[in-house]
Amino acid sequence: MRKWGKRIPTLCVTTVAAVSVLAAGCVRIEPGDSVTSRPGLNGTGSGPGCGIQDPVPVGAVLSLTEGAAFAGQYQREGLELGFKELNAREGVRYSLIMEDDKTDLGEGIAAFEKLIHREDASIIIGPTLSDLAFSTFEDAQDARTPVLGISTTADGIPEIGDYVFRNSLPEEYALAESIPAAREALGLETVAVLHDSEDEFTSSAYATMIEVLSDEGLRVVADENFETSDTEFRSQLTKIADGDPDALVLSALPNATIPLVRQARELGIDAPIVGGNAFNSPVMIANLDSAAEGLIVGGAWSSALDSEGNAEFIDAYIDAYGRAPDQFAAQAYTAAKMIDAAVRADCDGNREAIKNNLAQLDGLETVLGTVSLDEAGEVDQQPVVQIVEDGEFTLLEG
Amino acid sequence: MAGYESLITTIALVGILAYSFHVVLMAGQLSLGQAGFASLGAYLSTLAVLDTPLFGTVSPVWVGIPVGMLVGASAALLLGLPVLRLRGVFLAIATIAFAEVVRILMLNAEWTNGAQGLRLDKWVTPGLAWAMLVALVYVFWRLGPSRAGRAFAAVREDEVAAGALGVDVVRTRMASFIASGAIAGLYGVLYAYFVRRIGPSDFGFTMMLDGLVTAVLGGFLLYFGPLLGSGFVVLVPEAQRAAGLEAGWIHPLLTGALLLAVILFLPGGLSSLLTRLPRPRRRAPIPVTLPVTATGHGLPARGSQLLAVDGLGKEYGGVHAARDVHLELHAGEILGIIGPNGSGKTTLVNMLSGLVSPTSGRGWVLGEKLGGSGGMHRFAAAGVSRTFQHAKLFDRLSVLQNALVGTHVVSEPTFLRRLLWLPSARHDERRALATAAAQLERVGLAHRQDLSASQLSYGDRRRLEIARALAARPTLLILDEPAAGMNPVEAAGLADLVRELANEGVTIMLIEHNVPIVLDVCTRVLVLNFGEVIAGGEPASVAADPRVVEAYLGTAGTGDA
Amino acid sequence: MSQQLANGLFSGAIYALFAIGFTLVFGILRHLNLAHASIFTAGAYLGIDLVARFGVPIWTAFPLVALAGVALGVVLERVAFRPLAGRADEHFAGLISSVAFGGMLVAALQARYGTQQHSFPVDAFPNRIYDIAGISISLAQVITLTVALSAMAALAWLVAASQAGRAMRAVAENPNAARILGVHVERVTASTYALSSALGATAGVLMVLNVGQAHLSMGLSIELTGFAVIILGGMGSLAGAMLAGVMLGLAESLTVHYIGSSYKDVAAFVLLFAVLLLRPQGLFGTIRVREA
Repeated sequence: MRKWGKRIPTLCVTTVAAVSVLAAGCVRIEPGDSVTSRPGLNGTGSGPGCGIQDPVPVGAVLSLTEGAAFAGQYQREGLELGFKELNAREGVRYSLIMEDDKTDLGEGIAAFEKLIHREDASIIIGPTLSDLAFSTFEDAQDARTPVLGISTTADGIPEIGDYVFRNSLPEEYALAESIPAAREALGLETVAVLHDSEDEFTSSAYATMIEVLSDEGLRVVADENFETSDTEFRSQLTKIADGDPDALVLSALPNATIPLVRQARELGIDAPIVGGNAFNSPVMIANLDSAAEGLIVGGAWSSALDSEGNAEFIDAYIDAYGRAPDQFAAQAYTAAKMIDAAVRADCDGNREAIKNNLAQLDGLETVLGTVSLDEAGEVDQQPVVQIVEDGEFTLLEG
Repeated sequence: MAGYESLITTIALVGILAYSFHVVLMAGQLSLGQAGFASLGAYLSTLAVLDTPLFGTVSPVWVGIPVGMLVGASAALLLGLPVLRLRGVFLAIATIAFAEVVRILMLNAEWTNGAQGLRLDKWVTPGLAWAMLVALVYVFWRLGPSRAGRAFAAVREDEVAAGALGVDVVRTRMASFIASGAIAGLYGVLYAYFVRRIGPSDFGFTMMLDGLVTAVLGGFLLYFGPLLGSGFVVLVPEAQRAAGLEAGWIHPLLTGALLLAVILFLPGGLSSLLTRLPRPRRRAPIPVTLPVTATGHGLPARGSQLLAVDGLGKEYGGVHAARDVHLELHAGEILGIIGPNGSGKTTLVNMLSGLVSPTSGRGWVLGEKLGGSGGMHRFAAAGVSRTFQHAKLFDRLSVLQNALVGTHVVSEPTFLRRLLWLPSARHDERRALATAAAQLERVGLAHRQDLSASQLSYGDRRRLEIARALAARPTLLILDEPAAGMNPVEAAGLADLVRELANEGVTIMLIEHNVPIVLDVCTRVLVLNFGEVIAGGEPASVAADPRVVEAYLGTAGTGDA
Repeated sequence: MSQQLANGLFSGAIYALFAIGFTLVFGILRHLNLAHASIFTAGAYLGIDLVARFGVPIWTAFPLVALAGVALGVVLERVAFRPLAGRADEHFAGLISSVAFGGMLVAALQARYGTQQHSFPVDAFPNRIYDIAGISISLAQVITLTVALSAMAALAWLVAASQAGRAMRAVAENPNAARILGVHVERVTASTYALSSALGATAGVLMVLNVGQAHLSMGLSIELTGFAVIILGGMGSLAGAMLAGVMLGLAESLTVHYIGSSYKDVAAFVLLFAVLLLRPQGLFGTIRVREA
């Protein structure tokens, strides 16, 4: 009994610890309910004359490394350029806090948590991937922090909540324009479809693609897929070649586009290739050289677009980073301008004000063209359809 | 805690993932299919988890957890049945392949929504994740010093020796495999309801590497290794971020360097650092309340038949390692087996202890049929205990733990009772400890009990192996060249020990090259050559047999063998 | 259909070359070298760098990359395997240390080349397309097959006929006995890694040539395929790896053609499972103890 007695304290501690952690496990998360408003972010005046004392903290979570860095790096540069220009103006200053999510969901969640709770960001831009947005936007919505997606194009994202916005044209809209445009311009009747079935973004776009194709009355003669890390597509392409389609419609990430197009040309598939956002990059044209000729690319932005400040944006970007911007950079750049518009509308850099004013954003002239946000937070803009001619993007219409 | 909840939860989740690797590594199995188990557990649990809290407040993931664990465990069982025959890298590759196949199937199935995955609600709080992790730490803390925990360690260190001591190797491996599946399933459910989604690619090769790296960094020899590994793995990037080292390549470089350093210089992982700290010894000296004798219960009456084999033979690809052996053994005998190198002595005792199945002939040992199904642990359970020609110790275990594994067949399972802190478990453990300590005392290793077995000298290793065999309190003890490498004084001590054991009623089979010892100690001698028995009988008559002399010297002639 | 067989043959040749390096180390030293895939990736990036930045002709790039592979292999052996020699957990620890080394190597590539994909400059070599009996084959593919076959032939000769090859086979049989017979086991070990890594790095360049692009995770996908190849061919069997590599390439092509592209990778793993369970020594291997 004496020996037993000695162990009782240990036993008690263990039991108490076990019970308390179990009890902790029973509590469910309550959405955050405190809406803090910082007076230092509440300015005077309005519009161009608005003046706010404290810098407005703007968070950004981007995939600067690993898988999606191809986009994240352009976004970083676009954002930096956009806010640099804004900070050069009078009245409102922005402090940009950038976090790298390493293309990883867990890292993204942690980065959002940091920006929401520790950095008190007034709004968060990003993340790069829709994959990460579905989780992180829920967290932001719970914490009543507005978020502005700049490349999260998957279906259902604005519906997450009233604090969720995006300026990234969904692949659906781009395809809905580019497929009919291509059909008309090239007189297509049959197409082959090839998509990345492992990636969320491309497989979501694929679903839309199939719908648009059937709406347009185009016959799908081959429907093949591959996985994100694949670089060898000849087997799929051989099957596609057997179907002898008038055009090849692709839904792939930029990493796959170059080997895909090259191999297709090597196998003698000379049909025009129709692609989405992933092809909207100057790097791709440079790497593909003559194989890029005839590519039809739907997207949200083009260097050939005659929109407000587009030429100046491209010049300033090349000046600052030594390379031409792509769509990711343009959308990031636009995000800065949209946030500025929302802040200046009421001259208030707090979360609620930014959220309310973003929801009312209407007809803002940007490098993407005229941009509005609807009640759900979805972007409304005219998609751009381009064709590669003589090694350059050329607008197919408009 | 506000603002750090994700970080805190992530530490717990990574720790749980690491435990699913820990449990197979601690049993020496390089099984890497956890991503598949986690994926199946997570996907299938979504079918059971409701959208609304249970009873108004309780997280519905409490339903998902048992479902996920059950799915993971069942998948592990079904996979284990065919693949657990494989060992080492073959097992690793087969299990990786399984995880890949699961990933591809989930990607292409309709109900999983393919690459777009399933959207879920966030039901996992930091408290819940940590409750699960603490529960695991508790279970592994209680498992370590239990009979089952020792069996895991023994199988990891040496499967053959573990089997010879009565550990059911197949079941132990399967148990670790199933536990790994259950923990991986738990991880899958928690992860999915923490990040609010499941996608097939979340459970891929990268997740496998992360779990393995965390488990190895933390160390799988100690129960809190995964906890430590996880804290480290999660916090290093944070520290790096705080230090302003943002470049993307720094993190993988740092992780790689750290992993390399640990595996080269700290094979026991980070947790082994903690055991090196000096700490007050709490363990009271073990009261040796048991008699120092090896046995004391249920030995067969002197003279009763223990073993009978008839026409026993073993053939390896046309070579007869043993052929047509007839042998009977009676309680109380000391049977010596001698013969030149390659004469089939070891093959014979391997057959008699159940390590290899004979290719011809039949027979039984202590009621166990030779060549039947099941492993050599059946023979150990029946009362056969043996040592090996090259001592097979559990090198990373202490001397005392080695001897404790020996008590496997004479002790009761204690793990479940230890979980509940039942006094009877403590009592049983003390008994096992006393038995083990008594045998160490007997061979003169009591003062070395806390050294690791790998630190022992050659002679001490042989003595420890004998003590370990004796801890099983055998009816039949088989010693395979125990005197090899011993000096004459040590060899004489060994002879005394053998006689003493025989006096206590243990039947002994002694394979030895040292012919004088055999002739001196044994009551009967069997001589093998080219796999066949060439002589047998009283030591004196065998020594005089010309065939024996010829076998040893190559030609007929005079001189002592 | 015949085009599909050609597709399978070309990717199969690369699988074979990659897996031969893998299986060479396993067959002789019983190490599962998980850094092999990283050396493959490093070879690809180095090859591109040589051609794109230093203007080295593609034919000269091959031996240079192979040499770089040799250097990497020697470092790998020295850093990740030799310190473990003789340790009880040598094989397990070697697996982990090779993962660590591989991770560091890819991190170094990332530091040097960034995360974006790389490819040969468009004018690196004339990309002619030949049409042979209805099968279109690019010059790059012809180069790929030629280099893969000559590397395999050279290796086969080396192992079968040279002094070094005999020493390797002796070590494979029994390192201790080989040592007693005067074989310098450490040197053989180092040269095995060097040779294996040279093959791996060369396979990396061929991969870029064949598909047109290198990226940091290219090693990951071929590593899984490599597992399937060495199990199929029989662990440690060089001829087995060659045949199994080509077989797997064909199996993938035919799966896409007849079953559907979703199950391209399943083919490899189903084959792998079947072989592991029914014929663990591999289709072309001889019986060995299944220990490692």
